[in-house]
Amino acid sequence: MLKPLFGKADKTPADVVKNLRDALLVIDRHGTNTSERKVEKAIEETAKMLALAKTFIYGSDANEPNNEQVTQLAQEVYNANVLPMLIKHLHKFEFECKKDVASVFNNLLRRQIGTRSPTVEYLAARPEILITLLLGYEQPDIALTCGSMLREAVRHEHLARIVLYSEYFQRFFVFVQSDVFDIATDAFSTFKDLMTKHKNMCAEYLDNNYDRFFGQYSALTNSENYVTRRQSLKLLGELLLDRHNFSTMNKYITSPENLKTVMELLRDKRRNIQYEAFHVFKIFVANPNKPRPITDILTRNRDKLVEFLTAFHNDRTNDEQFNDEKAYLIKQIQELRV
Amino acid sequence: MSSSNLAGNTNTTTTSSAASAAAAHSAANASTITSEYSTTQTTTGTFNTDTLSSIGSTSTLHGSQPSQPPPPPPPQVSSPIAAAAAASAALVAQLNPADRWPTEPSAYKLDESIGVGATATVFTAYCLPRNEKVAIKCINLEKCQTSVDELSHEIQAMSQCNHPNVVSYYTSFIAQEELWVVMRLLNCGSMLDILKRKVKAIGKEQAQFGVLDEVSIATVLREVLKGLEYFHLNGQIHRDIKAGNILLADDGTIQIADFGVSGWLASSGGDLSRQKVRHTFVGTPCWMAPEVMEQVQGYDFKADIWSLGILAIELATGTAPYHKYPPMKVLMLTLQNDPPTLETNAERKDQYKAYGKSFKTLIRDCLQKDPAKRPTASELLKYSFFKKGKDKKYLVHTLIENLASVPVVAHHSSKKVASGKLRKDAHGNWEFEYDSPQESDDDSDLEDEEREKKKKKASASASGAGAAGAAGGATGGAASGAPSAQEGGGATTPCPETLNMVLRVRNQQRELNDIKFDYTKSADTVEGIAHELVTAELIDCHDLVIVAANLQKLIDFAESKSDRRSITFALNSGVHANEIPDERTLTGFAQISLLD
Repeated sequence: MLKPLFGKADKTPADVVKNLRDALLVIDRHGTNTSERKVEKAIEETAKMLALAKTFIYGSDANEPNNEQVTQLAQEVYNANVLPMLIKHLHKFEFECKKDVASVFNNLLRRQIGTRSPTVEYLAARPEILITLLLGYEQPDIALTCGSMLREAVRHEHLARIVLYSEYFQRFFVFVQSDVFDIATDAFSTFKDLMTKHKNMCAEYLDNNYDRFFGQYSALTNSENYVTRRQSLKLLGELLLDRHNFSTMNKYITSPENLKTVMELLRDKRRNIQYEAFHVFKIFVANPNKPRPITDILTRNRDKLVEFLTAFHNDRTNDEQFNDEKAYLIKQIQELRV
Repeated sequence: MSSSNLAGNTNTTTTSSAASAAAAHSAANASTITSEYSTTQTTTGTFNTDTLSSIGSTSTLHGSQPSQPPPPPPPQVSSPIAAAAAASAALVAQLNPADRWPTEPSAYKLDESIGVGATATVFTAYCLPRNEKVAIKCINLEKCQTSVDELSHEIQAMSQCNHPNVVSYYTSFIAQEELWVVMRLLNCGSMLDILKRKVKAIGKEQAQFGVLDEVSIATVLREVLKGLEYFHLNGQIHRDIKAGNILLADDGTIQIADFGVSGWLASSGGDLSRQKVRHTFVGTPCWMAPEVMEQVQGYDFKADIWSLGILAIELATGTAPYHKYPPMKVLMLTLQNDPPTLETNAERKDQYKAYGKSFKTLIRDCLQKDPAKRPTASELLKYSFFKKGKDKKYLVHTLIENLASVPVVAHHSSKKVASGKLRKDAHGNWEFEYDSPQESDDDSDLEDEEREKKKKKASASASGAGAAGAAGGATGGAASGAPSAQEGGGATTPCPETLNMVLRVRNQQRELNDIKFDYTKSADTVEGIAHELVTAELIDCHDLVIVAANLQKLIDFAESKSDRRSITFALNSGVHANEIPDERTLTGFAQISLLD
């Protein structure tokens, strides 16, 4: 009975991290050559040590996690500087090993000591790690793993700011249109978190980068890809309706070009696109301070809009809020002539 | 100069706009709203100028962006971020497109439909560039009630699985309004298909005492448990474990399929703690764990262990416990009754004596109502029952080769209109029995017909006169049931009290079915009949209310002595992606009629 227990306790967190670091250094020194036996063994050793690290953090069937061991492991990870190498060489690891990297990384990010988040501080001092994660979307084999880690990281405002204000943030407008559905939707999920999680920072970013951001965003709402168009329209509605983004909303809904685009999307042949477009269109109509060019467009199309909206999605009988809003819009448009 | 250029651009835009307007006018379907836009365009020249300025500004900003990929800078002066970006670009440059599965529909040739739902169809397909057969699930995103976010989570759950007993996900992409999910083709079908073929092969009489042998069951369940162990260690719950979602490959591989209701325990997938629970009410009622139904304290991965216990009973008896009952009754029975056992489906004593103690122990331990007491998948794999399990070759021989001559379960034949009768057995439970094929167009059918006649005769004599609900063949049962019903009707109740009806509707394989049933005012409800149609998978669950409503309407016609004897109505479940609703051919519609 004692023997197996002793066996389990054979390696300390310090041992695990040391072995991990030694293996990573072998991989690092040999660059792209992974066929060498030494490198293969190092990759296997990396996987073993990560699995052990996971058991320290999450426990196993037999043992609950030990807080002291977790603290020790985290401290060793920072001291040995293994995180940059793990992420740099992520593409070389086997399938399950990649997931273990994400599990360990994400758990370390959630650690708090008092009011401090040591892993957040560690990453803030090494922003290139975040950029490497972001650019992971360009490599299908590691896109989702990097996405998971990046999303965990940007839950912290300090790290989100680094990503959002990085010149590489613009790549998201390409990533969210990936041909591969799960990569595109994962990237969109991260993009959405960046634009919605930290309200004041997002509002500030949109104010400062309005023209650039919405210039690129229009490529998403006009995308030929059904999911890109649908999801980006939905997010657009959410961004505009968030009270923190009041200044951005005002700018967006006073633009006649934007109104025309939304009116065209209302008549998209796909009903779910129409529905999302409605939730953007309603913001233009509900604006109590409509500028003249906006009221001109609405007035000129008044009768057609009333007819169109009266027949719009009448089968949504269970959506009470939608029907109330639709009735309100029809009333507002009918009264425009006053 | 600058001002002049801006003016020039404005003129060009105006000209283009005029050209566009002319083109729009010439189009037959040009809408007047479009022409209104044209007018607006003309009168807002000032804003055009502003827009151009804005675009120019954007272009300038674009120009300031680094080219992709950025050229590798000299190491001595590179920043850590630039170095990281350069390293990433170098890796991207090495990617080999041939390693990827194609993401355009033209790279695949869709073949047969092997499964149909309200919003998705699974096809066999051929990947042209890779010269490989695959399964492709085409999900219509306009009809699917699942949000894109939820679908995305499901696809990502699949793509993050790499285990021999979990269906192999290759890629997914958008084709028009459809999501195409490309997976490994497991061409021997599901365990539900296998059960049906086995029953057909050994006959209903023999099947009463058990469909699959213990060795086959142990082998299949062991492989399912390995898949579940993998799921649960990764913080996932499947939530819809049943024979229909267990697939068999021609090499004997068993894989868990259909992540339709799978989900991560944690939203980000990062925290694998098993303390977190779910609260979503999903799954198929017969296989659903009590805590999932109760919605009181949430549930965790132990819900899959309950489903596995039901699967075990299904593999032995051919059906899940309570399969005869409507969904709400299944919920009641699961919550109120003791947990099911093999005997729950039994109609006589010792019906399932072929199954030993270790199998019954497995079932009992899986089906404990307290989830904390159920073993984990890892623990179950150590049960003595699994010592009976054999390798893949055994499954190839037993479940594939031995059943090869049994006609395959037809999923896509549209040549014949299948029909059947929905009626109550002696215990008051609804049963649906398909009629025998009416037509015979070759010698094989003639031979089948001869065999069927003999079977009918034997069955009739075995069941005896007036023995409704006998366990004989479908034809025998129907034959003996009908006269009995008529006699009973004539003797005990006036004819107008009972209405004979037929519902004509396409099934999930898009075949047109005639489903006959009786309605007796004093004994039946329209909701009960509609529920049974859903339970028997004769209609889609989305159509339950509309079918009940029209059934009621027809009954009202009958009671008011109306001449109207038939109603055709639209279905909520809609049509398949390649179909157009058509009332005449009952595509997206159904018809319910009174029979004389």
